[in-house]
Amino acid sequence: MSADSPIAELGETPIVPAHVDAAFVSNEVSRVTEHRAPIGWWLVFGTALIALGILGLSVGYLIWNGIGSWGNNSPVAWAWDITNFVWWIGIGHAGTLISAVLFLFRQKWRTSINRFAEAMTIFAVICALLYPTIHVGRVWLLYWALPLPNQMSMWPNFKSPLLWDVFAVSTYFTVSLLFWYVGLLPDFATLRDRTKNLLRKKVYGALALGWRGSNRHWRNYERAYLILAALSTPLVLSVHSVVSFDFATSVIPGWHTTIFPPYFVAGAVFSGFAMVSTLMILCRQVFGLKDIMTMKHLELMNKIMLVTGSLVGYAYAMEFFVAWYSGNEYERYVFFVSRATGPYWWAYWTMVSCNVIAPQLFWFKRWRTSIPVMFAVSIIINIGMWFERFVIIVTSLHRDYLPSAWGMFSPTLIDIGCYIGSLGLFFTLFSLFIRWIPMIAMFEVKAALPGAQPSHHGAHDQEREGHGTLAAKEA
Amino acid sequence: MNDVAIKKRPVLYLAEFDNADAIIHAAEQVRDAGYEKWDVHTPYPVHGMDKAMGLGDSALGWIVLVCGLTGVTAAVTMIQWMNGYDYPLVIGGKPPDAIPSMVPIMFELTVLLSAFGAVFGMFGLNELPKHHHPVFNSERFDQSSNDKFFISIEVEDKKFDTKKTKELLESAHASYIELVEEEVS
Amino acid sequence: MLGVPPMSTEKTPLNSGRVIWRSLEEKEDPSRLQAEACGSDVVKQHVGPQELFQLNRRKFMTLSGSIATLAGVEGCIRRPVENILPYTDMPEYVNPGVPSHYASVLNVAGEAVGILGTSREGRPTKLEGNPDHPTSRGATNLWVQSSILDLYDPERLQAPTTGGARSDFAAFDKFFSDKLNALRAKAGAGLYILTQPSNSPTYLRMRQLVVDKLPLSRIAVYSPAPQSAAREGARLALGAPAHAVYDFSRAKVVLALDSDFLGTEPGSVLANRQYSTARDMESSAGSPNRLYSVEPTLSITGSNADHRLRLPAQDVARYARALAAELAATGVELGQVAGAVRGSSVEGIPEPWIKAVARDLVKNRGQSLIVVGPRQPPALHALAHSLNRALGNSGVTVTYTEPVDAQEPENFDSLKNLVAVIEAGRVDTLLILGGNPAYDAPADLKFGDALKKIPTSIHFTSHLDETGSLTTWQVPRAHDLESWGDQQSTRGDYSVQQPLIAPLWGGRTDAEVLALVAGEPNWRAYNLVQGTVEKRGFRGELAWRRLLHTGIADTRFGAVLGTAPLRDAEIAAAVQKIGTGGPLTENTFEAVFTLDNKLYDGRYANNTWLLELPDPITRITWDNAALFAPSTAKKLGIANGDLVRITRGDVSVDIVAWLQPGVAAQSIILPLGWGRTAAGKNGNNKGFNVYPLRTLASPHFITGVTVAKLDKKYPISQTQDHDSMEGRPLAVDATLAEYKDTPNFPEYKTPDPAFGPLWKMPDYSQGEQWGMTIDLNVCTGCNTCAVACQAENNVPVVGKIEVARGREMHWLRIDRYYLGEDADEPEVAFQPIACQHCETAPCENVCPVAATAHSPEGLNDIAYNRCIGTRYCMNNCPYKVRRFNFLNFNEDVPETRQMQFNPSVTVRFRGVIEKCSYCVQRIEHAKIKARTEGRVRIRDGEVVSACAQACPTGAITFGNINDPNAVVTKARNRDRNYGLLAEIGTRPRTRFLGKIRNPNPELKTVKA
Repeated sequence: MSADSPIAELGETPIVPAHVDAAFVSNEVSRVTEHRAPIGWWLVFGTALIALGILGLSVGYLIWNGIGSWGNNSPVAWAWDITNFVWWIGIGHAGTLISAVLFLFRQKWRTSINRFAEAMTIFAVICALLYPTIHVGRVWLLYWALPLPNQMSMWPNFKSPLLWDVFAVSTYFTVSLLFWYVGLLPDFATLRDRTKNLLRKKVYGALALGWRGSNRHWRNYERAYLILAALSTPLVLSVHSVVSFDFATSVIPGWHTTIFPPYFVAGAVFSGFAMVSTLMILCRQVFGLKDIMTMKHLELMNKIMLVTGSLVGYAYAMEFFVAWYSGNEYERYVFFVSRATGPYWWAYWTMVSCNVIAPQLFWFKRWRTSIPVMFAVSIIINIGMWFERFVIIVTSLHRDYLPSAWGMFSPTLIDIGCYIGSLGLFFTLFSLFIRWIPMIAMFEVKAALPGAQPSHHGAHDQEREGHGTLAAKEA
Repeated sequence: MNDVAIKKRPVLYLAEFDNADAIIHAAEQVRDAGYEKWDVHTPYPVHGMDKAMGLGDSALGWIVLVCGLTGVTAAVTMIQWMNGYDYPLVIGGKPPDAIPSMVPIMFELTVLLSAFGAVFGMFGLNELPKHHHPVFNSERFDQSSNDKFFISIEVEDKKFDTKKTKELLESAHASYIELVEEEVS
Repeated sequence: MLGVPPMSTEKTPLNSGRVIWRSLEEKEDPSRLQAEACGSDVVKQHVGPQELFQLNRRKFMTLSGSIATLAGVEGCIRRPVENILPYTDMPEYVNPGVPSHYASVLNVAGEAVGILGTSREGRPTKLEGNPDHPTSRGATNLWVQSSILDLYDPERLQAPTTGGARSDFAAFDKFFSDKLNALRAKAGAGLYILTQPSNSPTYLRMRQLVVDKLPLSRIAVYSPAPQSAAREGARLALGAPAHAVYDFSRAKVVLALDSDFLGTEPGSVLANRQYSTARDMESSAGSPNRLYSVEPTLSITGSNADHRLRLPAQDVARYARALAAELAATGVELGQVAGAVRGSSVEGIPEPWIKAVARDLVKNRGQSLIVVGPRQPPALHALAHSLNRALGNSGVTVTYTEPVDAQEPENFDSLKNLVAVIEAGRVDTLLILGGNPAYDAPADLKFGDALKKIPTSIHFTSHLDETGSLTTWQVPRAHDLESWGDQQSTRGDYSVQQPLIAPLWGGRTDAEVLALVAGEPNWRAYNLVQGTVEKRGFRGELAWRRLLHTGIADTRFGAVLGTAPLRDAEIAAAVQKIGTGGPLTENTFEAVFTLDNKLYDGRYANNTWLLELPDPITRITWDNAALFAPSTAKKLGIANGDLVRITRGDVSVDIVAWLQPGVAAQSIILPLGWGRTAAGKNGNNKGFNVYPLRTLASPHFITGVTVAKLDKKYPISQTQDHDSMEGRPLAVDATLAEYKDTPNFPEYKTPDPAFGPLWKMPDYSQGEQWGMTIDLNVCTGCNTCAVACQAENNVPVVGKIEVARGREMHWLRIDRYYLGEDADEPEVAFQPIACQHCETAPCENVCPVAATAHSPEGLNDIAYNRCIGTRYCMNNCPYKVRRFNFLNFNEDVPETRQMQFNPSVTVRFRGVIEKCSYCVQRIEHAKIKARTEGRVRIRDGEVVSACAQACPTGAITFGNINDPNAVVTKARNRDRNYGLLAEIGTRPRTRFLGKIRNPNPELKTVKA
């Protein structure tokens, strides 16, 4: 298809209004970082900082007194700590998915939101990493989990899914960070070139690494971007699969199941998109970027949530079927008694109604395109996905094989502090990001604008040759 | 840069164009004129430009391949040596050097090193970071990261001729042409 | 050493006995002794001056650990410098790291139990049963195990005190001797001595001496948990005071009438062993005994019964009469008694319970046994004696011996008389030797008030308790483990009690006090005991040494009685008076006072091991509770944790209510021994004190108390709150018939996987491979193993709140499940659970740092130092036996308490996982010994885990499963064996043997 023809997956109208051109994009996006922040930003940032303080205090208290400061116990040795970990990791997935998978699938509309989503990924993963770190009994020895030579001449146990996690999550973080930064290079250059402020020039200049838009560079750049996308796609799937191994490889009924990897990935994408749209809606309102993050984008996201939400619902149902079909009394007890009707029934049914029922609203265009509705639903989904992890972890543990060892879990203030605090950490980082870094991939949007690409010859043959350049994708 | 006290010498011609069509035509002309030490600067990757400039395919893929292979080998040897040879332990009754449990980390390390290869390989091929380049001496060049398109032809090029090259660029409908100078150190 | 039998190296070399006593021998002056004791190598090393310990390393580590982490500079934690005092001169026979063992004896619940004390570098750390001693046969019970902790209780009275001020022995002895001289002048007029019942010949010899020297002095004997009913019963039947000595091992049918012979009654250690001999499928050649239990509360005995009839305590006699009548009717010769029992009401007693039980007893003439608990009146005991006689059990399953204290006065009368003379103002000086009457005397005696009226009252006590705080002087009383003494068991076995350590606080023994009163010049316990020993015919150094060494005299004392015909007339007369009434009406309740399964009568109230130990039946820790039958509670609208007010006349007690399956409908069970106010900081205000409801007239159960529900809740900490197995094959059982039909019945419920793992397992066929077998058929759930494990492995105590949060640290727990439909009529299943040492351990796979891995000998090892505390293993353990140090549970351990720690076992820091190690330290110890003796292999029985060693029923066996002749191998090869949750492929090294129930077919379906 040629550059200015309508974009198929968006119906008949182009994704951005006609008056949007390259200069407009530069101005619209850059001004956020150049002018004083609106009051809304200060509100978010301030609140986030307070929550971040709570995190500091809670973690300090925890490390000083021991894991006993949390509600964890026997049999529920993991509770909110790992729940939050999985929740955050899941949220992170949308970013990579949008930037890598949609990229490979040539979903041009991603360009307005991928930067944003990638940033969210990185911050979510930072929050996630917090929990495995502080949940161990002796934090100061955590580095023993790394294969470092030591005086005990002992090595980590590579059979442990927890160790796979260490590798998977840190790899995921590193690759996401690189991907993000590579994408930022040309935009840093833009900021560098726009500003007259010496400090900004130096900082953004340094970050831009002397980028000068040379086509000899673009050539390698696009290839690198393509490869990173190709690497991230299996990576993002692997990360949550590995996280799910923590549970799937165990012997605990409710954990010990093969459906977990796909089920976790679907859930991750689901929660990730929910978080992205929450943030997008906020930024859209606060910074007035309605022309670049259009209703089209939001609607597409809602469709994806509808799909993944239903996938998750299918997984819930399938767990019950498998438990019943296996004939294993322990499995059956966990699902048909513990979860559905046990002491934590409320958690289970909160999960189901938030994750399976709520998204069904998006069958209807009226609700799919209503900002208040989608904002509410996106938050509900995030709550629901937190409960999903809580249900999987706590209800499976609190009643496993020997009834004599059954118990209950109830959170302490420190549990709550650590959770609220992680939200603080996330939003602090995020506010800083939208304030100082172009929250939209300018060069990608420009490249995707109508008329951005040569109108005749060259283009077509190039594409057929499958040259696989970024331009080719975007055209 | 107009400071007379400093001795200057010309380094390249910088020609500005307003849109992708213009730049791609110009590029083809420069290519056909047989120039070698020249470049195109665009705010975003302009599609078809590689061909227009007569550039070949990127070598990055090979670098990544090597890195990826290094990653998987590193994973296998590390795990086998640590758990299987240096300090074998009976874990859950399983063989210390069991293969299946190695797979996830093999994969992760492959991806990790490939990603390093892709990013730092790209930097290497592009000779980044490189904070000083003559094109930056032109004030108008700031627009190259906004919405303007540039062609730069270096004095170094053996076909470079102050007059002829300028004519070439003019004939390519450059909206502005500048002979960029740099200080002689 | 000529003529001395060769002793096994497990026991002390002869002269190591000498080390102890010689070091005390010359010391006549108590104050000097005290100084000497603290100065002596042994004590100084551990009871060092405070300042040595002020820099608390663990606290320091926590601090620097957290700081370092927060600052991200872990590398530079500096370990503080600690000073350790070296031996000034190395004592003989103490090899650092090599424990030595001393034979001694303890009086537990009124019975002498022979023990072996393990001593580490001069400090006792652990008590085991003396295998050569008939009353222990190498086993113990929870009170023996935990008494080591009492020895080191930092809150023990550490010096004589008077008027609330700390004094010293010099001052006290001055005062005491003056006082005594004054009294001697008056031939002891005004001198009264309150003691506890005792089996110690030396003590009794001194008591007699006092009576002889001071004819006008008087001696009272009181215990809140007396055996007087049994004594009186025997006196009734035999005409002379006697001990009924049971042999459960020869009884095919046992009828327990409100008797907890497996739990709180004297000699429970031996009883358990004998019971299990008759119960065990092998030693009973496939025909296990049958146990009937008739009782108001669910006791340990009742929970092991094949048939259990829940009756109010007052109706037990009625049942006995009915049974006796039935027996007489079926031709059992009861003489006049037959007439006495005729026509008693059988209302509320299921008819088969009379007919079928009678038939069973008759069928098993000469090998049956009827036992009556101490709560029941003497007449019922007498009736039991005559029934046993008539059934031909006398001389077989029950014999009678002359008690060592034939003059022991009737318990409650004795105290009543004492109070009377106090009120009459005739008491000038009262010596209270141990005991705590101000707390545990019948309430209507108001002993405390009486005590205040006495000019001079001296309490010789371990703690400054409720009684001590009312006396004018309080003087440290030596703990049995730190003082000389002797004991004679009810069977007549004589043992010398030899100290394992010099008195920590220079306490006096009862015998010493009496000797001082009597003016005995050589009053040190050591001399007194030697005196007794010589009088008993053990003359000379050699005999003395042999006695110390073996811990048991080769001759038995106490004449055998009861061969003459019983006194039918007296028995009949007495029986006429009991069990005559009908059943209690709907809304009349009786309060039944039970001895607590853990704190006994309250004497162990400051023992944290026992406080935290879950009650074997209710699983409640740190509290007692009023137990109601679920159905009754429902009627009264009472739920678990409700506070209720129980009123007798004008006295009432508020206590938390608990629904206990198996409690008789009209009975409210009130465990004694709780709610102490001066026990120490651990024991104070734990649970509820029910002594105020106890009266002289009815000290054991009162009919007609009223219950009122208060609308207040009280939090209860349980270690197990789910009582049902949910139909899962966990504690697998079958009836004898089912077993005969399918001997391998557990396999059908929880089979081992048909095929092994998909990979090649390590070769476990070589060398020592450790394994454990637990026979659920003989496990009585007595909790001894749990305490033994705690004592051996330095298992911390976490407190009520942490238990409520599910953070108890017990390495070994005993799961208790209820079976059956009717909440009031539960069948009980006990199942000891510790680490199963799975060959394919799920916990090992998941540890990221390989802190837990398998040893070549099949142990599931855990390296505390390597553990970073992810708790993943804890999650992935299907048995939930892994414990996590959620907080620093070993913070601020008092120095005396530290003395008990087993130096071979790491004390764990917060943030690490711990669990049962199969007592790996014992395994290593045995290995070292074998190697030094030039042996490659360890002999079977050389390694015994703490739990197996302590178990009184031999339910737990441990050893090398590669040795085909090892006991453990034989046990695990029996048809009833199964692996818990084996079906999930964990290949546990601990195997269980299914429980066999032996119901009487005629009674099977009967519910009361």
